[in-house]
Amino acid sequence: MPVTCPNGHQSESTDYCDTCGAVIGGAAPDPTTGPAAGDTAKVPAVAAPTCPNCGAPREPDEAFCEVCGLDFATGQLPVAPAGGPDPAAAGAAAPPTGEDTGWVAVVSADHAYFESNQAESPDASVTFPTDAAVREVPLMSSEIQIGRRSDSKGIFPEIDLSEPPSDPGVSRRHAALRRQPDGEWVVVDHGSTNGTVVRSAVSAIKPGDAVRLHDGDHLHVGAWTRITLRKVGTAT
Amino acid sequence: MNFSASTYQNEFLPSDATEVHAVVTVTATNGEATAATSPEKAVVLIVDTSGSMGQPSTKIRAARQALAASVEELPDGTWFAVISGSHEAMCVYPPTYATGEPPSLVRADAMSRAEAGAVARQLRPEGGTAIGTWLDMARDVFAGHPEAIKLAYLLTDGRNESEPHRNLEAALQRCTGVFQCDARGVGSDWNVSELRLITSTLLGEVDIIADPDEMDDDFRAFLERALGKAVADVRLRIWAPQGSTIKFVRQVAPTIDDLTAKATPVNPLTGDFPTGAWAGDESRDYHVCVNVPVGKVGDEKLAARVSLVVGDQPVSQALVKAIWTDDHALTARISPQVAHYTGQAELASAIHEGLEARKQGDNDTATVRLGRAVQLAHESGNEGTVKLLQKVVEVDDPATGTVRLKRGVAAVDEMALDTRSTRTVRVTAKPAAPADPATPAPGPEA
Repeated sequence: MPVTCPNGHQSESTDYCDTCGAVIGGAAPDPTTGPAAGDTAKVPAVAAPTCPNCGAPREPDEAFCEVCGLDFATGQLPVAPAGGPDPAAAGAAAPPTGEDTGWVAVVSADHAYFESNQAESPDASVTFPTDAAVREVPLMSSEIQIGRRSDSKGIFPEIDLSEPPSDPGVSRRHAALRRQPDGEWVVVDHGSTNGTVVRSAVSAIKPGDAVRLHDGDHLHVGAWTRITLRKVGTAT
Repeated sequence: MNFSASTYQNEFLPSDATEVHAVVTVTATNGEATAATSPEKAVVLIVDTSGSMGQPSTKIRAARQALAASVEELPDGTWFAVISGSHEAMCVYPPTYATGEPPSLVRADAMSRAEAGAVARQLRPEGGTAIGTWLDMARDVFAGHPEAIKLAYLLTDGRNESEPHRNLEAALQRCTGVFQCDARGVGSDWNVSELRLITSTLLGEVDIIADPDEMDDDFRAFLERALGKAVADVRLRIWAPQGSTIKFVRQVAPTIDDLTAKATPVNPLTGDFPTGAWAGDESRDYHVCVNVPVGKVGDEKLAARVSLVVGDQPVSQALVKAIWTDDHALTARISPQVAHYTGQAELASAIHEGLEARKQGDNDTATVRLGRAVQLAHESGNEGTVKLLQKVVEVDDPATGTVRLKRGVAAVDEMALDTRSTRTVRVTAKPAAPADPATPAPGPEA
């Protein structure tokens, strides 16, 4: 016997609507908003915290809005809010969508750093790449992700350290560079497995803390990767 | 015969995600399959008898021997035929051509086995190679047995050079859905993509027989598989919601085969994907990817209903779901099966691109892609592919994919790698996959 789904479709299937896939007879409120259905979405009973600027859902412990980049502590927006870094759509190989910030990240393999790590905790399975080229990644938006690309997980970091020489010590979502209102940058570690070290400090930065970077400052991630920030232009 | 289907996925999606991935494992188990209920089986053995099979003559001698031995062992009641293929096709057994009757199958019994064995031992190598005509002949031979499980085995040592390529394509179109066909290339003068086109279209497997001595075993193995099939024409029926698109449907184990283009629409939201005949103890994995309209946080919706259809009867189903949430701990998880098979698919394409680049003389690209292939094969425990890769590259470090191209690689080694690049392994029960979080590297205390 056909049943009616929350979006008003007649469905032969009684578990999920055989037109729009909505749950049928589920106890939970189900604000389905398939474009296929001109429906009246119910608002979830418990309002999730949202960004006061753009309304995007936010995590209670987040320092910045993931969509518009608003700094929740200061209430300031990044200088040039990018069109919204879309982690699902912005492929590593895709052309940069944002504007040229006038900064580049220089990515290189640092043998001295690798050696000091090996001295601290030797791991024979990791070998230093002998043929690593130095890469320059222009910082084309106000948020630059550092990590390892994963198609299956939908992770496409701008600074993709899965590219040869793939650094095995870098987490998929490792850290981010975020542009500040004054045009300078901070680095925030996402809670990576092996941490992020700024300016060759003795210990890694605390996950979630925004640490200032100035022109010429460098940071280390993974087994050997060194990332140096350089101001190259005079972008606004 | 029973089928079961189960889904492996992370159904939790971040708020802006629309792409849903799932691996569906389909397993067949022998319920009360009896001789009475299982359909008739029909096999057609197609052997290349072009002139090149006599150069060297070890090829034709091995083919005669393997063919004769296998027909002589066919169980009573199996329907079969033998086709000799050159620039034209001839059904040499049963010899209906002698009486002017249309080509057909014959039932295996003491007499037909002995006669077919004798005919096989007399095959002579002469003429060219027009594989399209061989396939058309097989289709004619199978024509009288629409209900049987119909499997062909095609053996060639050369390229399809006696007919335009479009003839082969047209023949394949006529044969699609009529019978399944495995293909074997002997030596290294055949074309991998030509045979892969045949087996991909006709739901079979392609392989290389590098040494004619391996032919005997390969024929036997084919017959064993063929006779073990218990159900014909099993299809995956996939429904996806209005407004969504099925991005791909891929068999991912035991081999990779893209089924996306083979869909037959059932209704506007449902398509059937052919999987051919199944044995009573088979298990295959499928990777399904659907783009669904974006939902709101808190939404749950069915992203795909994957049913297994035998005849027109759904026998089992698996559900692929999508639940949108803003809980990163949930969305960041990845299904190990999806990750694994995404890697295996990348492995196959890395090998393909690496070998292609090598052919074009682009050694840099070849080194990078084959290095990536070594890394992926190593990570996933695909030892068979690691071994094949080692014949083509020197592996300095499998973990990072650091390789050097070998000089003077034997053509058969390169073709074996090409042919078998689509073989996958299943998810191993390794305690910790190094995917995420990253492998603990020597690093400062976090």
